[in-house]
Amino acid sequence: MRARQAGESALLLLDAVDLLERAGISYAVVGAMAAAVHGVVRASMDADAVIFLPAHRAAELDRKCRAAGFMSEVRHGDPDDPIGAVLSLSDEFGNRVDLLLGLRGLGADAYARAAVIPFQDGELRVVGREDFIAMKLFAHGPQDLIDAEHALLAMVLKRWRRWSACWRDRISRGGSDYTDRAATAVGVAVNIKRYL
Amino acid sequence: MPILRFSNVAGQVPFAHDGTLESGMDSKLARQQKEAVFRAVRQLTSEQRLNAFLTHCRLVTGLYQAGAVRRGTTRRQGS
Repeated sequence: MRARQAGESALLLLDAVDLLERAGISYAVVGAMAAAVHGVVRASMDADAVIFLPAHRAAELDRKCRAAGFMSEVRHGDPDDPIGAVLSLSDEFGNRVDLLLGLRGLGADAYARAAVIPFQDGELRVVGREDFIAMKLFAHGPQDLIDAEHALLAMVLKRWRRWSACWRDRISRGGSDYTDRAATAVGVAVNIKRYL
Repeated sequence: MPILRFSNVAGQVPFAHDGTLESGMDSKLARQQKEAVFRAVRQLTSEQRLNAFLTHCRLVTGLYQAGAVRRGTTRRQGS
């Protein structure tokens, strides 16, 4: 186990990922860690990942996690819950990892779109930006909407910079205020979620 | 064109009755600070952002634990 103190749920997730990969289970990191990659860095007491395993196999994975030395607990969602089951892993320091099974609307193709990012002595598959935004808009809590906004803003700014490098001269030649136009375009994009 | 605002300086998200974010508690200064942080974070690579996340969590947890110890001390002194 990598974690040596509280506040290291991200390291506990690396341990969990080792186990998932040995078991041949696909996963994608979501939650605050994905927000750090796609939006802004904010603290969280836990680390989350979706795993592409049917909810009815949660108990089987629970046994593997216990055998590997994790403290583990399975909770199943109600029939109308968009999350089939949650496998919560924890350690002696209170670090916590939530593995979400059977997440409605998120297909295994999200795994293929996940970004592989080096982290500490390993690497993590982090859910793709578009999937992250869609999940956050679907969850629709206050923090989810802020995360979606930041990720959307980052995406728009990145594409805007690329696009504007080609068009800056043409827009300026027309005598328009370039900055105002940029702000308007970003404003339009950020407000897209109101209409989804 | 209304543009969604970042959360206010206390990190709270003010909501209007229709569920949209409102700007009644908005501070221009706080917003500029948050936007500066946002721009700075965008300069980091994904790997650097994950490491920043880990460091941030360690620090915040340490702060929380210090606060919990302090609250416990105060409570014991008060009883």
